[in-house]
Amino acid sequence: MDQNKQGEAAEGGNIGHPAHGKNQEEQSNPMIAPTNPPKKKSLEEQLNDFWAAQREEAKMTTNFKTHSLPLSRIKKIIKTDKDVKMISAETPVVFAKACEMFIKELTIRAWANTEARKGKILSQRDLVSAISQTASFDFLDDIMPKDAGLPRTSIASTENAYLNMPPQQNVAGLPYDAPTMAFPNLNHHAPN
Amino acid sequence: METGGFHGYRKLPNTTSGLKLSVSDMNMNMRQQQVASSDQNCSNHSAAGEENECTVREQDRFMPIANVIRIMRKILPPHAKISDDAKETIQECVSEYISFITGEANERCQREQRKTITAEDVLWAMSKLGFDDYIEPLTMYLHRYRELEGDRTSMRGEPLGKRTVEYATLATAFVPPPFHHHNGYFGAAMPMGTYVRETPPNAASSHHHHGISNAHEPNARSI
Repeated sequence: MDQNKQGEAAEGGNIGHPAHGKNQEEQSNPMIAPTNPPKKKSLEEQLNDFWAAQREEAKMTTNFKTHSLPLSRIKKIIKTDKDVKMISAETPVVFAKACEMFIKELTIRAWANTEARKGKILSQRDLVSAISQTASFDFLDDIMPKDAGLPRTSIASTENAYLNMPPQQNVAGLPYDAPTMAFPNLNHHAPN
Repeated sequence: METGGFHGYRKLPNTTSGLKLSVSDMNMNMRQQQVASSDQNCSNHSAAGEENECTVREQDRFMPIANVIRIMRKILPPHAKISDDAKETIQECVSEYISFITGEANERCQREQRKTITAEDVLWAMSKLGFDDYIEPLTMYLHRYRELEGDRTSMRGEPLGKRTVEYATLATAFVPPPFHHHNGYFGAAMPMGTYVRETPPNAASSHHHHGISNAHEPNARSI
């Protein structure tokens, strides 16, 4: 299968699409002067630039043989839903691009939280905060740790994490609940 | 009719290449725990019961972590570090995202008594579930794909693509209407199936509380 070969090749550490030059430069600028950044972009500005860059990148794509995510794996994840019968050949291709954008958007939002708390490492609590602050990410609430106590963090970090979290999460009234995959809660992991 | 099932995939993909051994052990340990706590996962196998099968299946539930990290690094400052728990959390978020969108797209297929989920169904589901910003770049990406790979797709002899001939025709006929930022429905009439233009009565639109207004450039629309 051609697609499976592409997927397997991608798993072998194939080089993804080159990063958008303009976007890369703009992202790096605020970090040149970490002590006193001359002008730090707001999260909204970063996201506007991000989506503009995505539109430009999508128009100029020339190589569809290698994807940033393996198509074979995407198909397997889609097929975990037993109600799904068949998918067109284009569906995993669209998902590969969509997931790449999803990862990038989530990373931008999480890193904004890292910077807000003067941290240097993007951690799980930055992701939890980003997800709780974004309405379109409400579907992820079920697989996020519920309580303020995060696994593998010290008590001090836990308290700090609790302060970073909003007092109450907004739950959108999406009717989509039953088919959600039942991921085990992260708290089940053994602490270090 | 082809029924897609998980075939006996024995070889473990090297998804943790580049990570330290201790991290790999930790990941495997956690994966084992998740496998043990998920009975349905084990029952998915036709030849059920073997521990190795469940382990393989568990590996396949997430995107390879190396790919995920590579994508994250493209968007982060060069010196940024990512904790191990963040890497795993993102892996789970991506799988959840795929399942979330797929579930909505599949419901639409079933309502319209179709069996194959198409790229249009995926885009429709995304717009319905609040991912409006994704529609325009994905639409362009799909057009580029059909433009450059359309002929190859129709000749690809893959089980999942048995109906690609139909979609090759579909690709030829599909002409998208002018794109509006918050309008995720494709108004153009499709040669097969019925794509409703009206908003479903019980459609729950998710509004962005931190709404971001994108300034659409005329160039961005030219295809």
